[in-house]
Amino acid sequence: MAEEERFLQLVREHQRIIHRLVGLYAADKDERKDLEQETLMQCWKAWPGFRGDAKFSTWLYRICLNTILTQKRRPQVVQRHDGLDQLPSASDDPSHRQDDSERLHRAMRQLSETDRAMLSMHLEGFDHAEIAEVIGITANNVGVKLHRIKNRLAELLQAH
Amino acid sequence: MDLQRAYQGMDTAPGELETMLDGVVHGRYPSDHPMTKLHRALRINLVWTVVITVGLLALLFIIPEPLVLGLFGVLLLFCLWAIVDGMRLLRSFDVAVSSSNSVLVEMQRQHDMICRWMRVQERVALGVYPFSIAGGFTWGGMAGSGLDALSFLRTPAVGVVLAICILVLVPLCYFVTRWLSKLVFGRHLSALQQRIGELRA
Repeated sequence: MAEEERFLQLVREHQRIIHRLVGLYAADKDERKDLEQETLMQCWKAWPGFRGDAKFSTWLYRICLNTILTQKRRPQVVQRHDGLDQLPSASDDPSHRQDDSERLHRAMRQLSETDRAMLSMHLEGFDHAEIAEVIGITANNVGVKLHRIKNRLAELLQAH
Repeated sequence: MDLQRAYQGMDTAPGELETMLDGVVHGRYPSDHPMTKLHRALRINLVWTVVITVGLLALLFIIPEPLVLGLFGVLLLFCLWAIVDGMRLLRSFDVAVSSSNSVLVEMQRQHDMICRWMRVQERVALGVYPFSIAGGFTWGGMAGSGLDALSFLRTPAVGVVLAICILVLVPLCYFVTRWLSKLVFGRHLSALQQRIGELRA
């Protein structure tokens, strides 16, 4: 019971990670619900193996990505929004910050699925070594790929 | 644009996660993961193979004809092999998504597991169908004509018809098995392969 409480508490504290990550991959609202449910189930199944020697957020990220990227999913309709560049740029105005988040969300969804995974970890604040460990490639490779992904993201944010 | 701040601002509403948590820890939701489905399919296959094997065993005591007995005997051996192979595959099957494997290793593991399952299905199709067709055809012919197996098979055209049945039905069943596997897992396998390729590039 104490273990269950601990699990629930940690997931509640980190639920935005799951929510944000699933939002980057799900094709629609129904798939989002299915993916969130499946991710939570896989986390609960894997919970006895969590020893606490790694950060919970790293452990959670690994299971989320392993679940999302190995789940059979509906084909995603790539949404190309005209006028992304016409949205206001970042400022301290909360409504503009919301616009920036939406622009970023749309742009990220046009990246490949693995690029999305690495960029989301990077933006979540993980360093190259942590990303490398979760993804399964070298830290140098992560650096090279992130450089390329950021260039592509800049193109997506500006060129539409 | 401050990317990190924009990222933190994405999807701030927690959605239905909170309401799902209780159902998840109390096992109220069925898993929809391909590994779970594959595991379920493998268990169902095993149960059917056991049922068919028991049925074949019973037939061996009923059929007096040595030729049909021989054909069904070979079929029985294939069924027994399929049971052993299926159980071995089932034991090596980890349904849960790994919390220790990297994304690349986990995708490769699941890709390999699905391919292995498909190969088992194809091999069973190739091993089982020729003998079940030959045995069933001969047994049915004997029952219909009232002849013994050898006399029935010596009837003009019967051998040719049997050969045509085997030559047409075995590849047909094999390709239907492959097609069904690809229909269920083909797109998923391609997606996994593509993601693995992207990470390795």
